[in-house]
Amino acid sequence: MITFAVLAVVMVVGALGVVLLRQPVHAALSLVGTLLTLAVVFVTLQAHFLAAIQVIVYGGAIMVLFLFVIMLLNLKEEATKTRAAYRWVAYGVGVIAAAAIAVGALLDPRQAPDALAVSEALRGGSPELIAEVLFGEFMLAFQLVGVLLLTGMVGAVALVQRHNEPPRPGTPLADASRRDARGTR
Amino acid sequence: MTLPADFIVVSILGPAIVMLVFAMITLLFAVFQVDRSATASMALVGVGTAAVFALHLLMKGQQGAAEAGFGLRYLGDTPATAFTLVILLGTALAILVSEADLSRLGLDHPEYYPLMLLSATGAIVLASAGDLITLLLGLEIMSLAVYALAAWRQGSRQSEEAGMKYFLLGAFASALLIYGIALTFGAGGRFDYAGLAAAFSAPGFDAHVLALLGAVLLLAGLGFKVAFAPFHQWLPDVYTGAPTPVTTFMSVVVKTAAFAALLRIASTVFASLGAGPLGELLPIMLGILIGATLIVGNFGALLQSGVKRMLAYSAVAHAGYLGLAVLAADTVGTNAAIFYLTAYTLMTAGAFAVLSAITNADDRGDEIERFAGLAARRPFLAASLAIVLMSLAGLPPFAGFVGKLLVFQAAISAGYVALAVLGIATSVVAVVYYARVITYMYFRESDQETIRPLAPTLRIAVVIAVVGTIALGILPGFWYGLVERGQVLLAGF
Repeated sequence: MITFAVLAVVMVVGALGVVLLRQPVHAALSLVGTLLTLAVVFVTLQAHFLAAIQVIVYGGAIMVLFLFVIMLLNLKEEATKTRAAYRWVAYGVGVIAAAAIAVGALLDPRQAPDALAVSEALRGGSPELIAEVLFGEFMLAFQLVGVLLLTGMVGAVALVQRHNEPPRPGTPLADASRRDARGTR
Repeated sequence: MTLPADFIVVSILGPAIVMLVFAMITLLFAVFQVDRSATASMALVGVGTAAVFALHLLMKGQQGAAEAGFGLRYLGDTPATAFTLVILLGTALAILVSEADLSRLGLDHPEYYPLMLLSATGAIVLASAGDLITLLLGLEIMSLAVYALAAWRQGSRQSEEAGMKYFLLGAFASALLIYGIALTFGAGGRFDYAGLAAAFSAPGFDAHVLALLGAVLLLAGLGFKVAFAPFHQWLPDVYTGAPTPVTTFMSVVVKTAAFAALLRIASTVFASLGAGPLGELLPIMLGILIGATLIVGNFGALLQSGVKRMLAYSAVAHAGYLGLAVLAADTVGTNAAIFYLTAYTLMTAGAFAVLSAITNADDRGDEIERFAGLAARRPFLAASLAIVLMSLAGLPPFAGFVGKLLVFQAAISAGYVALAVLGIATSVVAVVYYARVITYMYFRESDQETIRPLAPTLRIAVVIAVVGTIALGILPGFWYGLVERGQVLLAGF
């Protein structure tokens, strides 16, 4: 319980940092802290595989993307052009929503399941359980995700690579539309 | 955990796998820079092969031997295969229009046909889905490819705007849909429709509010794709901005697949919610959406001066008529929708095919004045357009009339008389804007330049559309009878 309390405080502080820090890079690093703390919480719940995924996917891949975007856009300081009134409305809605979730969770009559039963069901947090579902019951969905990724890739290549492709001979309109393209930009 | 022995059923995946394989073949054609018309022919061969597999499944359904696999997550029953055939028909017509038009428009980049086949694969998966995860994946495969195709004309503001708008609103719709799936799973503890329907109608079920919230979000997410008002805002801009061959594909294939999914959910999950204490709320919401769609679509179309934009609003209006079949939420409604969508595919693809023969090289110039005197200059095109427009308006003896009749019948027998009357009233409005184009073609003098000769593939597309429209109008029983005699898995909850 004490471990959880300490971790919870660190997580909430990190989350507040994401919202309150002015520098986007600092905010992103604060988010890394929150995500890593969440991974530790997963470890204390015996969900080792989930913890590893949390670190690799969220703490690793997604954060690197965030930082790339921030660096590429070269944002020096948060743009403070939103009107103050809107900001207070947003704060209000956020606080009410957070309070509603907290009250809802505290008032929920259901008891948390026994820790032993949970670790029994998780089988030591090994990826075996996930594999059984993913390659068994949901094998069709698993294959379809592959098709989805391929579609995304072909679509992205088709749209981006066009700029490097020379106009093919035999299509006079290709040249015309290209000229038109430069004109409209 | 061990799976049952009949868990994997490859035969029902036939049409989707064939489309995927031919998408790969055309992609390899792109790598080795094979001629574009050869690629288009290969794509057509793929569609034909997939249709053979789908017909085989349809015949199995006739004999009452329809199959489902993966624990009812993927279905090969009559509605699924009939929708698959409609999707393949729409894809074939779109490929024919593309082959005629793409090089003229300077848009025949090598990834075009692979993306179109991948999108059709997603559409087939969406139409055959028996659980919410398969539904979501099919929807995303279909949509991702179409987002790229909508922005196909780079450098054109409208096309890029179309792609961007479609992508952002599509992402928003997907977010709603995923949230709906999460809440539905939270309420029912299952993803598959059969399990959800059983959980919702079980005696001790108490999460009615959660289930209703999930259902409403599912309806909103799919409402974006089928363009129910007020979720139709993206449609006119996207249809107008995208290149005409892509618009042809979007208006027929995407709409068919999205309605197939919506009908399946409505007749299982929504129907099982209907018996609960909050059950009457969902049909009321759907009824409001349909009423708004009928009014917005038809009166919106009345106000347009561009024919492409008019057809876009008419697509919204037809979503309203199809919505009446969704509201009926039974096998009769599903069969009516299958017939309506077959007719709609033929009519709409025919209208867009003629349109693509008339517009300028830059795909502009769809003002109604351009159609003045078309009957004198191009009697074939004018007559074809007149036939498909009369069918779209719902005039006998064309397919659109039978489709509307079946849909109204389904709505009335399910007890939604007021909405059916609204549908009939707005059909009268529809006649006005379709007839306006016909009037321009036949009763106005033209000062327009002669338009270019008709490409052979475009002629084939127009002939298929017109012959199909007339044949389905005169002999509706052939196709409707096949659908009606078929076997439906997963219904009657």
